[in-house]
Amino acid sequence: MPEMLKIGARIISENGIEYRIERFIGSGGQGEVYEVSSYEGRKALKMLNRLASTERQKAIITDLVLNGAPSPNFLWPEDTITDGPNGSFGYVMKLRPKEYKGIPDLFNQKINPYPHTIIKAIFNMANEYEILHSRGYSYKDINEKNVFFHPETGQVLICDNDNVSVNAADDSGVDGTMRYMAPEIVCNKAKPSTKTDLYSLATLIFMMLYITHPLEGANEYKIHSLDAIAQKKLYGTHPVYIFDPINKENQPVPGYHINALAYKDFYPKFVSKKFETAFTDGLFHPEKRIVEREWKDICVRLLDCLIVCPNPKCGVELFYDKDGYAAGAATTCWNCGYQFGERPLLKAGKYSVIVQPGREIKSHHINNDYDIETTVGTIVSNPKNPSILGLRNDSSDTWVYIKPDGSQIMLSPGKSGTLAAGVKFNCGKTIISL
Amino acid sequence: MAEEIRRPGGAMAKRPLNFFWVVDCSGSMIGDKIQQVNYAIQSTIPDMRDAAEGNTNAELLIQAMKFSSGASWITPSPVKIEDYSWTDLNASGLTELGKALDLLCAQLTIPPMSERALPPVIVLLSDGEPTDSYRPSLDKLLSLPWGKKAVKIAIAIGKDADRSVLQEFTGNSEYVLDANNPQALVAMIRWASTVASQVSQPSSRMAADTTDVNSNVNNGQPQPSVVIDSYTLPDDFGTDVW
Repeated sequence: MPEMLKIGARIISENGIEYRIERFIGSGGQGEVYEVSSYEGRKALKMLNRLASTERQKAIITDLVLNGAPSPNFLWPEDTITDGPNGSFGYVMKLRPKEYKGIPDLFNQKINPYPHTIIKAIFNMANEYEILHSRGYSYKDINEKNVFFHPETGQVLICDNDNVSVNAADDSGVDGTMRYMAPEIVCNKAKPSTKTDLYSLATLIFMMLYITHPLEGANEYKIHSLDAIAQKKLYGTHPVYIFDPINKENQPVPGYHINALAYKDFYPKFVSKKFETAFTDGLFHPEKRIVEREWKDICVRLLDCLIVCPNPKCGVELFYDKDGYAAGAATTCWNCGYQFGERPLLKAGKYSVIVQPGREIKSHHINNDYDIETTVGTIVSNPKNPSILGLRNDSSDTWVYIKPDGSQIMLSPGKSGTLAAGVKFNCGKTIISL
Repeated sequence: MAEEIRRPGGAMAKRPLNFFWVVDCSGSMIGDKIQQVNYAIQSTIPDMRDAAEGNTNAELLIQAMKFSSGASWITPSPVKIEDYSWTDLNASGLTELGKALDLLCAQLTIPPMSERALPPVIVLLSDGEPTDSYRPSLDKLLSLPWGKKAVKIAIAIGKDADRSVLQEFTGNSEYVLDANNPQALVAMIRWASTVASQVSQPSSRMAADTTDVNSNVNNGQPQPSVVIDSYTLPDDFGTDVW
């Protein structure tokens, strides 16, 4: 129920733009959000209530407006309202398109994205926070409510940027959100920083992949009343990772922590190893926390070993973990139980891409540029003999196809070279080999 | 879910959060008072539903009880907020608070209460003095594990409400909210309805801020100055975590 502004009212911003209040979107602890229109089109206006309109909050937002968004994927303050009703303060930002969904929708199964989409969303989210951190800012309140993603493409938008400020500047009015706050903040021993952002980010990534919390195991089960005191213990003074390889006191409880156990072996070992670091050493040693680049690498590797279950009646996505099994061990589909043996892999730099028709090689594989959208090659079937697979050059550069005997053939854009044991593709910066 | 299976597992597990409206329907509430309560509670339900939809931590369950000469559940078993609707109440009779607390005690025992939950929230609305000996019932409520852990809010309707009794119930004078006029009543009921999400849902914790916090007026609307937030609790848990 809108209380601060009237629908249809007009309000003039600091940039001298007249906005008409079109629609009430919602309210929260800090204030209310409206849809507004101006000659620039539709925007969102967040009006902070009197309690939230502190001088330092105004200063933070005014700075953010001045400095501009780190990337187009931040719903960043663009303009301010300094003379709202009753001394309230507000700021204008882009509207979030309806196709973008909140992470709670993923947790509550309101949306049903494929694993590969979730991984892309995590990659993109890590990328955005990396951009923010590299500018010297910290976000200070990373949680499930401030990232939205497109459930088909994995594109992300970062919202609620009004707490963003220069890292280590103790000027933000927020400590974070329970379940996502680093233990040292829960225990009132530290203030939000880039280091605590990295903890929150690891937690959010874990929750998006496992649909459960990394610290909610047997210790949570033992708690009858999950109140503030219990939460402080679970997330602050006595946090234990549910898959801690040494301290096993907080393991998932069968029949209760269903998702933790359903996802435990879903991902390859390199994923669980990374989370082990994040939630054992990383719990108490902020300097050991995982940085965004590492998460981006994890996402690239996950996408590389993602395979569609070969059982034609099944077709779910699963991960082929070449290092996770003993030599010759079969991979078993989590859904139908179908088993299959070793699969050929294309090596591109430090990455290994599973060989499957339709599989795409991305710019990142040959240029190390973390561009996982631009396709530079595709694994295709030979039209004359579909059982023969080749790698098509989808880039704009000419590659060199090197046969096992050393002979070389120029592979111009659009041309494919047969994938056979010992062949190599020289793509300039990187050599792809089978 | 009839949808295609794409991933293992299911939705994120949630703990139940039992929310109780306990409404004084004694004779003194007759007329506009009870109708204001009816309207105010009914109007909070869409907001509670919206808040619950994005909640990843709690399954919000509602129960309502009326008390006057005796007490009875309007909603005998907990109903998910998605399926809940308010039934209008009428007023007549005495103020037998003890009977209401007895019913609450029965409901806060395990079972029917779940062994693992978020702290229940009890909102008691009353405009007068209890006419029965409520104290043994209150003692019993406060001795039950879930009774102890419950967040207890009282809304004192009108100037005749016995604040001391309500404070005994809440255990904290800050949790007794005064509603001396219809506007305040709506504001207090609306605020009380948000306590469920304050208890359950991760929401941004504001850093201690000494500027501008003593205001309790927002756009001319009375707002309780209470914050249901006990993060600044001692590190010594003792037997409090159970």
